[in-house]
Amino acid sequence: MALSSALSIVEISSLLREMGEVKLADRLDYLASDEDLEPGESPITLESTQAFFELFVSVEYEGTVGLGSSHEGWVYAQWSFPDERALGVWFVDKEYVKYTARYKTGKHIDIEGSARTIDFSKLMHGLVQKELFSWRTS
Amino acid sequence: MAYQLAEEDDLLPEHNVARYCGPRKIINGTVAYDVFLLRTGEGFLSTNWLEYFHPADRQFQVVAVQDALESKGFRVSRNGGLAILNVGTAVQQIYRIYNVLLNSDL
Repeated sequence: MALSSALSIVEISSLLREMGEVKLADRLDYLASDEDLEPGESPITLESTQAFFELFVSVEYEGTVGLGSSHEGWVYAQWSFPDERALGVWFVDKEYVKYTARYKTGKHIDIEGSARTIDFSKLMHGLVQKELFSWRTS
Repeated sequence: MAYQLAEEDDLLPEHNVARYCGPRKIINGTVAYDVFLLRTGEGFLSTNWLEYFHPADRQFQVVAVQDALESKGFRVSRNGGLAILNVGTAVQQIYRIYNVLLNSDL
């Protein structure tokens, strides 16, 4: 995660804009702000944002992604795929993620054993192996 | 707002509960998957029973839930929403997950 580790949330947001991902950048800015925070809720953390960006620039996918946040301040990304598979990833920090993934039928897509809190790189490789993502080539 | 409140024993599988989702949990018009997880400081999952307020009128139910939340001091955002969960489906899924866990190595 060499590149992302050096970036601030503002810089990540700017890079997303340069990539044409204005909606994601706007959402990231919003999630990093204090706007609409509920009691006990935190804005997204830098580490979590860096991890999301690392995944985002590493893979390609067909479908849409939207962003939210957990009460702890983890970036939460939710992908919807054309074949109605769905994926949700909570970026806990630079090393760990939580995820949920399912087929159209509702059956869970198992990435790494039964555990759903896993190593960040294992998730990335697992998602490519299960063909939800492919490695970005450009 | 005048309505006949249901009794606690009247909760049926075809009934529904609603949980408030703040704008940070609304993603491209749908709710985040973790919306039914406990919030910080929440000792149990807080939901509102829609049929408690009215047997069928969804608009009435939603307004009543909003009023109930605000009366408890909960700030309901205009950009937030309510995630509605069917009671029978929830019970079925809990049994299913319970059985999966029972038969797994965890």
